Amino acid sequence: MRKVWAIVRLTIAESIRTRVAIAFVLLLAGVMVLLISTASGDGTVAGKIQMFMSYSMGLTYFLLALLVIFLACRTLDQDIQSQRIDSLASKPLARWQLLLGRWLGIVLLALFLFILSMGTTYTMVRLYARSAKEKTQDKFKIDNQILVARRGFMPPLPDVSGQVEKRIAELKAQGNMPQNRGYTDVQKMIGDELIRQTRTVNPRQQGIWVFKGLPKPQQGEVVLTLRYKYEPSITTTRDKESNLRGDTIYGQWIIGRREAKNVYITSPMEKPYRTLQELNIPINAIDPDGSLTIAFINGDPREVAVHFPPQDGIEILVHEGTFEPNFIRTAIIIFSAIVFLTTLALACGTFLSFPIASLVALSAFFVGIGGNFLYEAMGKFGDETVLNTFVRVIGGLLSGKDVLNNCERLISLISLQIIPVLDASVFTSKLIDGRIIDWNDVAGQFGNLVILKAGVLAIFAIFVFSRRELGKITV
Amino acid sequence: MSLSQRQTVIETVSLTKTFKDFWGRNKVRAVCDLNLQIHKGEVFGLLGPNGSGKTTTIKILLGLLYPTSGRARIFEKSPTNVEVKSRIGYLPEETRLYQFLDSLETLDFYGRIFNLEKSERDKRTEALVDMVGLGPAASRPVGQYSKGMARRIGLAQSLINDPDLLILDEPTSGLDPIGTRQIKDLLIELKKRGKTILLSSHLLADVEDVCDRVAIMYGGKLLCCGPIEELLAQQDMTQILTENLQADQLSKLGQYLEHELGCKVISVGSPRDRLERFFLRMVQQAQSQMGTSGALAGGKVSEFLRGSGEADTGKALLQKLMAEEELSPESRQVAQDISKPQPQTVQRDVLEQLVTEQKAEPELPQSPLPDPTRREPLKQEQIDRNLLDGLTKHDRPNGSGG
Repeated sequence: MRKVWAIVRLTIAESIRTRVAIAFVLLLAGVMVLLISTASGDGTVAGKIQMFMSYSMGLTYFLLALLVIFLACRTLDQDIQSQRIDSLASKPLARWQLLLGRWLGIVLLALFLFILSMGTTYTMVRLYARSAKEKTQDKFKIDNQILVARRGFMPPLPDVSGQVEKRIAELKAQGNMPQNRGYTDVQKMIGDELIRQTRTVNPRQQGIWVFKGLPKPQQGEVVLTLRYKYEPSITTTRDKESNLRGDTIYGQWIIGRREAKNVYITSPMEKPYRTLQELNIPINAIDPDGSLTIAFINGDPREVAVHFPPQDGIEILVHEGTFEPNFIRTAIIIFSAIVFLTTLALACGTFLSFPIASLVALSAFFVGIGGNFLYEAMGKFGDETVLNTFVRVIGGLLSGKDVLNNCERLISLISLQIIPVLDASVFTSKLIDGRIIDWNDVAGQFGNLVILKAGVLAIFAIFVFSRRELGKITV
Repeated sequence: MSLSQRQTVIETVSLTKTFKDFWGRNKVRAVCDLNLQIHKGEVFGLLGPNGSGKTTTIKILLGLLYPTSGRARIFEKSPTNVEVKSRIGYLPEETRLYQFLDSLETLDFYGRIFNLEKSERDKRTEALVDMVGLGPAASRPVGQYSKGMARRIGLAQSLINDPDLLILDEPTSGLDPIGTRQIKDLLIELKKRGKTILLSSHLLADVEDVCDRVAIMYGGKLLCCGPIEELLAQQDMTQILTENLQADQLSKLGQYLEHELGCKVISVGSPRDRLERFFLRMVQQAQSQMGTSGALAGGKVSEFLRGSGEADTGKALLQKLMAEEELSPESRQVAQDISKPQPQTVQRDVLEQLVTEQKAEPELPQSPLPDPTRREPLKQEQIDRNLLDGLTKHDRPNGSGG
């Protein structure tokens, strides 16, 4: 291990003495100062905290990703091009030890810088939080909706499979099954529509949802949050008669069962639609069996139906932990992506020159950042898998039909399987919303990025580098 | 023990290396069907003009390049074997080190790669820095060194593990004559300890001074290989060295040789001192009178490399004794010959004087005693050799392979 540590020390010393790391620290410090002096959010301290956290963590991740890609792509290529590798590789140092040392050196350097940056972010967040005035709505929001770890509960989706099959049978009998859609596609479309109907509250009616499995009320926990977002069936305009503004919906919430002791009914409220709203409710609205009933009464006089989207239309957020562990878990997830990028860049550097290796690694990084967008686009693929698309490509090659189209889809599917989602904003958004990022999330990201994908890349890198001729000869 | 019975340290069998272009087409055959055997305790010279395949051969022997066909073995193992590399010291043709490290850090780093304990690393690092004369510049980053200074630290790094096999590619390139002389002294010390040395050089005089056997390569092929005395001996001529003769004595001798013995006298003249020795004397004088901000002349060969002195504790002493035990009669004979009061030994004394900065003697140092076993080259040969050295050195482009 002494040999590996020698390479680790060399890598860190190189980064510092060639001033690459120092340039990064200065850049990051400049960005932090800029954020501190300019971040204002929505004018509240809570908004300022959310904006500062979002930008500082996002920029730290982005800059650090660029740094590790640069260092990892450059290190081997520079050794080989300058022929320093001759002295090194003629010593009793296995190629894998050289790779491991380089990798570990960059990862440790990145870890140090990451801790420095995240430490600054945390300190600033705490200083901002302290600056909020006590007993204000702002302070309440900071303490109960941002600097907390809350778990979200959705109402269970109704089982509509029976209705779907019945409807498909009817369509078949009528000969109205769409010809250009697969069976699975039609099934999904009908199912989505039926679920949508269960989330729609018509004028002067109420929608009732029962949440199950909520934590039983305990002493000290006082607040639950109902988070909701609704969409109108038609665009509402200003109503002079009822004195309602445009782009709003008028309704009322009933928390708890009507027949239970602890039932809370809000005043009728006018709230803008298509924006997230939060409503604090007492914890004792939860029944002893861990269920909670919530009803929305559509009292809008403008004859508008209200729809709650299944993804984020209605949710109960329960306080489950504190901010600090949540912050640390988010940091681990972000750093897992940094470790993956280091491995990817180093693997590219084992067989590509610095410019090409960095181009490949940067491309993968930017595709990975947009990974969520790609996964959403994946919906277009429906029931297609790599295997059945491959079969279609073969079939296309034999019949000469749709070859290009199928190849394109196959490449897209494989790319989506290989390139992991590197979009850290998924997790930072959760953090600044005060949502819990639990250890399962950490294990999932760490396992996928570091153990699985970086592991495969590391094996590939060792295989390639061990077989590469390192000596350079002018002939 | 005959040469063939001694342990083979380096062996190549039909070694061939062809470089290909991007499309896989053969571009250059750098080494072609090379068969070499280098034995334990030998100093072996690999000679050849630019592009003859010397550096390619060395890089194959170090596992930095892979042969296209044939095979290479070092200590009877593959050159890619990691463990075997712990017995090798290598000085590349161009000294490329980590420019942000200073001398001490550089040697400490390579010491770590050889798994040396800290105390041993510190001891060797200090000794080697002193030996190569970089003590005053030890804390400066290597990137600020002149070519010669970088060469010295490059040499030091190749010796950090006290290697059994030392591979030196153009070791004297960029060095001043003092450094060059010191490398020769070092090689002689290492040879005494039974170390094996593979030396690639353009400077024929350097090779001639220290090598037991040489191989000459051209166009990747081996032209000839053998003991240096055999290759250089001119069997049809005889040289007689005497004290200075007067003109009439010379005339009588010439007549006697021609008339009585029937031998034709080809050339008569006074033996000339070698420029290297003359240069060293001049520098010795200068150094005793003024200082320098550059590299010093360098110290004695480190104790751990000589296998004696303070480093001879316990295991080191045992290793030294064992190493000398293992010397074959032939190599012992060579070692004894070298240890006689020869020019090299005298020059070591000169070097030591330079380092210790003794006051200059009032008169010039005595000329080294002529070695009766050594053939002084004839005037014409000197001219030819100097011309050859000059041509080969002058023509060498930067960074080109050998």
